[in-house]
Amino acid sequence: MAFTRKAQLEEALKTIGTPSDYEGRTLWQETKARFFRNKAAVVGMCFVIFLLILSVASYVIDLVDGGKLYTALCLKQDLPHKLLAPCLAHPFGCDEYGRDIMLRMFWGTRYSISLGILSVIIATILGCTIGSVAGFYGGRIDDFLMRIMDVMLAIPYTLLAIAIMSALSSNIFNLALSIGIPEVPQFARIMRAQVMTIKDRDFVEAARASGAGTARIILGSIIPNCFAPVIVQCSLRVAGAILGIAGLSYIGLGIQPPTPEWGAMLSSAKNYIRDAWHVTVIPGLAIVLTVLALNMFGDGVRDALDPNMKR
Amino acid sequence: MSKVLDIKNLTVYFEMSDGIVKAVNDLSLSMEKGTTLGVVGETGAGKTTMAKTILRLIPMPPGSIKSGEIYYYDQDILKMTDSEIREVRGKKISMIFQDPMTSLNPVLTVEDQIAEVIELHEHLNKAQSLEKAREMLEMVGIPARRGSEYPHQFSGGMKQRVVIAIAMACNPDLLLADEPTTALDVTIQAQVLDMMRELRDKQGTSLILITHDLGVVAQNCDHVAIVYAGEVVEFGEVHEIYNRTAHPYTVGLLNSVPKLNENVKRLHPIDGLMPDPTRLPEGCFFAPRCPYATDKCQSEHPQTVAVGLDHSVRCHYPGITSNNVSNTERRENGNE
Repeated sequence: MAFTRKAQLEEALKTIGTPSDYEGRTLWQETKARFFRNKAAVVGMCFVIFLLILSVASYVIDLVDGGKLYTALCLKQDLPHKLLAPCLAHPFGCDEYGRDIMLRMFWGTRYSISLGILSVIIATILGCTIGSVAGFYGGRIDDFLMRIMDVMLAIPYTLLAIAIMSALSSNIFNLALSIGIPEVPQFARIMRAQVMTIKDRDFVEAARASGAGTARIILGSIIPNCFAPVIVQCSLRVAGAILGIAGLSYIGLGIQPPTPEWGAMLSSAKNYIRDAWHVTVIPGLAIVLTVLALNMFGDGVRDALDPNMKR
Repeated sequence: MSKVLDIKNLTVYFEMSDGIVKAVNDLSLSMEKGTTLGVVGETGAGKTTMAKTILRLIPMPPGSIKSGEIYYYDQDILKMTDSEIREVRGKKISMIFQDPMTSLNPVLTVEDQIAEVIELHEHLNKAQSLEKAREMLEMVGIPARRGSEYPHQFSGGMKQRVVIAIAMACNPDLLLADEPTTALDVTIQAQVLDMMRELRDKQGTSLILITHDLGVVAQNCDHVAIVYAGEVVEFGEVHEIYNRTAHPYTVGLLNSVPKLNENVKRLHPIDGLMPDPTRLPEGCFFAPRCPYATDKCQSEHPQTVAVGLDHSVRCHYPGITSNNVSNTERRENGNE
């Protein structure tokens, strides 16, 4: 009898197949392959990586020489070159104080990129916490949290950012906060919807049946299954956050001149738009390209993570 | 021998906005250590609710346990604190869910999922748990090196093996298998059942096998409980049930199964449907569909009576089916 059992088991193994038959691609590899098939997304990603390298490089230069180069190239005024049109020595021209626009934009990259990412991280952490608690517990807790989110959604995005910014003192972290907080409801809603569909799935009940506590179920079983749409939202919202920061700087609430933030540059250049087009167009174009690249990248991530959503 | 599980007068209702769903009504069951109990009934008879109540997995609200006790040895599961019940779940009593396709977490590797329950209960570190998880995989006939793969890379039968490996990982005393083979095709069913039997014999686990397949029950179980509308209508040793069937519902169930040794043109399903659990009849729940029902059956709910040493039935007229011309024959005569 024991022998036949063993034989049966071996027979079963034969039907299942040997491990080498299954040497397939992992989930991650498949996602990667889908992403790289999308040319626009790859172009977007390259541009974003280029910007990241620029911002890291500017940090490194500052660290090495203690900001001397920065002061000399980006802040020191050189009035004879005021509003100089693009030429070989200054490919992007010079601004109203004769400073080289290309160099200023190089040093300014880090503000847009790092603040954009930081504010989305803030929004993700707050939004996902609120959303998963609301979705998991439901009932009154859900009502309470989501009504607060609805109220926040009812206030126009920029208005809310302006209100938060003017309530807080003006520093870099508060700027990220004021851009991040209006994004919280978006993340909370996505996370809540996702948690609500996942929490009734069988494997969550199976986890409970194997003795897992509530914290373990939320963190171990539910949250990992909710990440795909949140990652997509993150990659798309960085673009929005960069726009928001530029907007706040433009109206004078964000980063103050002479710091070469793109929005601030745009703002101080707007008075000269009749005399020198390049002073406004070039920083504006940089913002447009960055946002476009991030959106293309985000779309690629979405298509790669969610193959069902393809048209 | 001691009773590994003893359910006494369990009543579970779901209080919905449009009425009270009486899912489990005054259900009593008991089983000895190391035996296998088959729980048979139609869809919606309350089998799964019963199994989930044993592990207190019923969502409350809307569910509520109206009365009853569930003893695991001498502890009442329904009186345990939350941390006590978490110790029981997965360690002492574990459960296999119906559909292996959905009961595995799609974003975790298979060995991680097995290791999780080991880590929870055996107080081992991550590496040791993974080691044991791979041993469990080998035990259910899956090469250990495939443990680092994700559930979507496994076939249905293999997923159910993984689910069984998770359930057996901590050597539970009692395994609740809720239709473990319903979602699988017949050949894989046989493999999975064989494997469960083997593991049960090796580890001395008691097993509750919930199914609607009477063949599976006959092959695997020591005792059978026939459940109808949330109550046990017939309970007994497996041969007693098959050879000396005492409840008309059980007779109906047996008649609904095709037999290999008889040439029958049509099967004989039981007429009608199970009563709506929000509006159960006043008398015997089976009376509206029972060919032998009398006025007494319509008005008075029957009590459980013993009809043999290890055989009880909830009917006013136990054994009525064997006294008369059998249900099958009578209908066949009528049809000819």
